[in-house]
Amino acid sequence: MKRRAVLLLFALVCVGQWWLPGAAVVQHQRALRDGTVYRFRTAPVDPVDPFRGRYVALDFDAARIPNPGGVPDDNGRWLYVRIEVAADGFARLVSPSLSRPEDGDYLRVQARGSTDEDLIVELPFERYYLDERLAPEAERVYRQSSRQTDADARPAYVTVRVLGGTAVLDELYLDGLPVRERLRASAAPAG
Amino acid sequence: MKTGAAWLLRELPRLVTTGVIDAASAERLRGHYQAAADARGWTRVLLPVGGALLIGLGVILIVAHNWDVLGRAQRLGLGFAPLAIAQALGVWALSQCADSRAWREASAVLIAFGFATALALVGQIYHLPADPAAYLLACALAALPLVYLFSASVTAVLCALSLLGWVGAGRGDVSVVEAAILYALLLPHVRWVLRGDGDSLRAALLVGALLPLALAALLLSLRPSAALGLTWVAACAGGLVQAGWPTGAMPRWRRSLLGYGIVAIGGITVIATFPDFWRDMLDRPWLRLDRAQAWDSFAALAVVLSGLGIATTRAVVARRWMAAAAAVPAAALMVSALLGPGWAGPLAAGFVLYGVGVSLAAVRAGMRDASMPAINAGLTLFAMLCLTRFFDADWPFTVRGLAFVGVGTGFIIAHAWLRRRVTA
Repeated sequence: MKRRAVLLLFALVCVGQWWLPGAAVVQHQRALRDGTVYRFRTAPVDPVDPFRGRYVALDFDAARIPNPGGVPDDNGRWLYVRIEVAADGFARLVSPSLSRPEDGDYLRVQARGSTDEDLIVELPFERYYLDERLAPEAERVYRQSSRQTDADARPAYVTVRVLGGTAVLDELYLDGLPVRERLRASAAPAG
Repeated sequence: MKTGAAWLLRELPRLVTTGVIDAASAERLRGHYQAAADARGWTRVLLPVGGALLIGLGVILIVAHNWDVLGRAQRLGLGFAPLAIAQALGVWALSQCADSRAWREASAVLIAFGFATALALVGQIYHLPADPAAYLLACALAALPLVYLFSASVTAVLCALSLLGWVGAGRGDVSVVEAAILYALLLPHVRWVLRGDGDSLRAALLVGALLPLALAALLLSLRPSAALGLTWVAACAGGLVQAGWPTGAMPRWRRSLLGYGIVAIGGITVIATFPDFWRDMLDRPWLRLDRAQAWDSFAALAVVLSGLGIATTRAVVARRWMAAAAAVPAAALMVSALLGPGWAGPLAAGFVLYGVGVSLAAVRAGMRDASMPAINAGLTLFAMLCLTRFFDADWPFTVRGLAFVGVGTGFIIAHAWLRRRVTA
């Protein structure tokens, strides 16, 4: 009897242990399938996470939002920002506020301080995980490409799918190509 | 030999009831063979648990490689497979060999790592932002029910380790009350182990591992103030010394309380012999804390100090002077809050006298009870008090050099003489 009760409780624990990662899978998979695609300009650098492996950390132009004033900027404060697409086709964030917008796509971001002109925020997709061999290579190729292009026109961007405030990073592009494809091209012998 | 020891220990009650041996002989035999039986029991548990730990860490590393050749669905399958396999093993362990501690401990460890792997891989696949505090808290909460369902002490330690990581990664966001509540959730398991066999190696290791983890987490969760944190450590250390002070037959786990308490009191005593330390303390940094925000830290300090006060009163009534003396550093730190900056020198000198007095008293008690550990503890504290003068710029180099040679020689001669006296 006692053993049966223990097994029943263990079954509940198992369900709980599947629920947390499982819910995250469902939520992000739905955003990937049905979400609107936005492009964000970025610059990748290559750090490491002890649990998840190597990744490229992404530094976004869009993380600096024109400061409207009156919005709390204390470190860690959660804010909502609307997403707009600028004339160059890349996304930018506008209208930071403490309340969730009633319509349109938005992101939930964390404030990281401000300057006179800008409110600095942390976007919910600042990592792109890559094979441990490819991550440092991606940073090297990005640096090489950025030296050859206009300083304002970063050669890297990401596509992000957004659905109901859930944002999922879809792909990292270097020089207009998905990062793995770009790295394969640079690894292939010339000629 | 070791199997024979375990058999003999099981047989002792029957031998006493049948009159083959008396109770006193049974107790002596139990004391003699218990260590051998414990070692055997722990070898049985340690190997599968060590294997499970290595497998779990290995799976995390394999997943961390980020297999580019696999699609998203395949990687999700790979990430959830260790959890599914470990849970299946858990069902088998609970239903088929619930009496085997080795299987229960190893299964619980594997399930805890399986969950950690699955959660990390979901984050990797969907490029989720890093939140180590939330990740470690989720891992701790997922491991907690396993501690009770599997009676798994190793998982309890892993859980405590995750909670410490959660507090550390939370960058001051975790209050001391939250940390205390979550650590308190492990207490029923500790109580169960101590009631089952309080003198076992398992109980000693469990208490010995959980105690510093919990105290470190509580210290990290106190609002930042050196004076507040140090007073809290001194009060906890005093309490540990008094809780672990030998009073007759003492279970093994209580020795770890005494050990941690003595190390912390010794460390604070040595630091407190420097006037610079007191200059910082007498600057009263804790008075500048926002008391409305740091109320939980002050409440935690009040709770620990009250406990120390009660324990010290009991020690004084029972004339356990050495145990009562363990309250001195916490009391001095409290009193220093009322003193002006001119008291730095006298307080440092007072702690030199306190340190020398405690070390001499420990040596004396060791000689009286023929206890080399007590003598070594006293001499170690004395040596530390001398060694730290190496960094004391108030003394000229030649004076320090000659003093070191003299004290070092005296130390070696005294130790050899004491050893001969005690072992004679």
